Amino acid sequence: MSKAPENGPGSVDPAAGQADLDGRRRALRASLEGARRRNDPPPDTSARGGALGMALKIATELVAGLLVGGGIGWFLDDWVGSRPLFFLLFLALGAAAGFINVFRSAHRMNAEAQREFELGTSDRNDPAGTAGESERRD
Amino acid sequence: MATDSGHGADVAGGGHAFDPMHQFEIQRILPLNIGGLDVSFTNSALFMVIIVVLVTLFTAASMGSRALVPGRMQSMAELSYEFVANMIRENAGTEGMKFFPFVFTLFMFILFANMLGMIPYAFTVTSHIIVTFVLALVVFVGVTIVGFAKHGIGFLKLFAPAGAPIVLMPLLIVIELISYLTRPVSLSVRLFANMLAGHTMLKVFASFVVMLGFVGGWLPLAAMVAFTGLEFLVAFLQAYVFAILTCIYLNDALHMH
Repeated sequence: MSKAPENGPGSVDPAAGQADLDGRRRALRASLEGARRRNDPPPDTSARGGALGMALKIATELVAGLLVGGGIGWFLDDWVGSRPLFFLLFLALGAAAGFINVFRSAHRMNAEAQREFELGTSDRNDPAGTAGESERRD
Repeated sequence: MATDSGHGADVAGGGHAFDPMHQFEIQRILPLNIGGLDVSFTNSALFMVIIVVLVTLFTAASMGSRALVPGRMQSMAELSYEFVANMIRENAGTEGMKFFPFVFTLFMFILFANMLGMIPYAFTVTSHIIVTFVLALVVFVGVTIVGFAKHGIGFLKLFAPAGAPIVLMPLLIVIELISYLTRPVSLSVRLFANMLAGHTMLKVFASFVVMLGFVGGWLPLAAMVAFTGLEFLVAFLQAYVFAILTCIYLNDALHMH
């Protein structure tokens, strides 16, 4: 009983066995691909959530710059007694600081996206090499 | 913005005693007054205690068996450990691992606070700016101390961009200083605004379901389901963002970029 399946493929023409294996491998890959398409979470929703997060992040970055700049100016005005002068000056400086922060976080997001993109492509090209790496990362 | 939409819904309700901000009210459970200071045990404090107990139970109890092949709870605890450890290693280097306990505690506290807030009738601790601001302030002060402890007075070089013309230096230093000071503000406002807006939106849509009744209530109900899913994503994402920004600030303090 246990001998029969072992002998089966061996006794058949090896080329035909190879073709059969290739066909089965292709079928398996196709069905895996289909299952992945059906079961993997659509990347669209997470990307949209991520985009919303990015937009909120950048908005808060700008507002925080204005708030802190304006606050410092207001405090200095109280101290020195020159009501609108420092407030206006530091509001402008705060806006500049906000823009710097936005620029930096955008830079960081770009670098992250680039890294993720590179990881994604190398995953596809070399499943043995980096797939384990990215799996461990998650 | 959140208050506006809530107000609009209130008007449309036509005298319904409905208030989307009611869920954020602080209630004294155990009134307490020490030396003129109101230190009552509130619903917010109660939920913080619940969070701390839950996180402790989650990590301690699930790691109790220390099995080589982890069970469900143990692998969840190990997963969260690995997640935070990798986050620190990637963003602050191996040197940042010294601060693993702090970042892990911060991440788990915010994550559990956000997730517990998704349970109906639960109080969302992180929807109050004072809570998130104090968390951000701890990070800010801690990172600044780490920076000065490691680099001494040289840490001030962080505020002087390299290669800038000397004429522009005073202006740039002031801008960099303000940019540094915005960190706790943006960090706390982001978390607080996300939680506040999300929960208010859920409440407003829930009131639409009631108002439109059996005939027209199905559309907002479907929207509610989608928004609830989105809110779970936001709850996780905001905890993640808070932790990862802490790592990035730590990296600045440790390696001075």
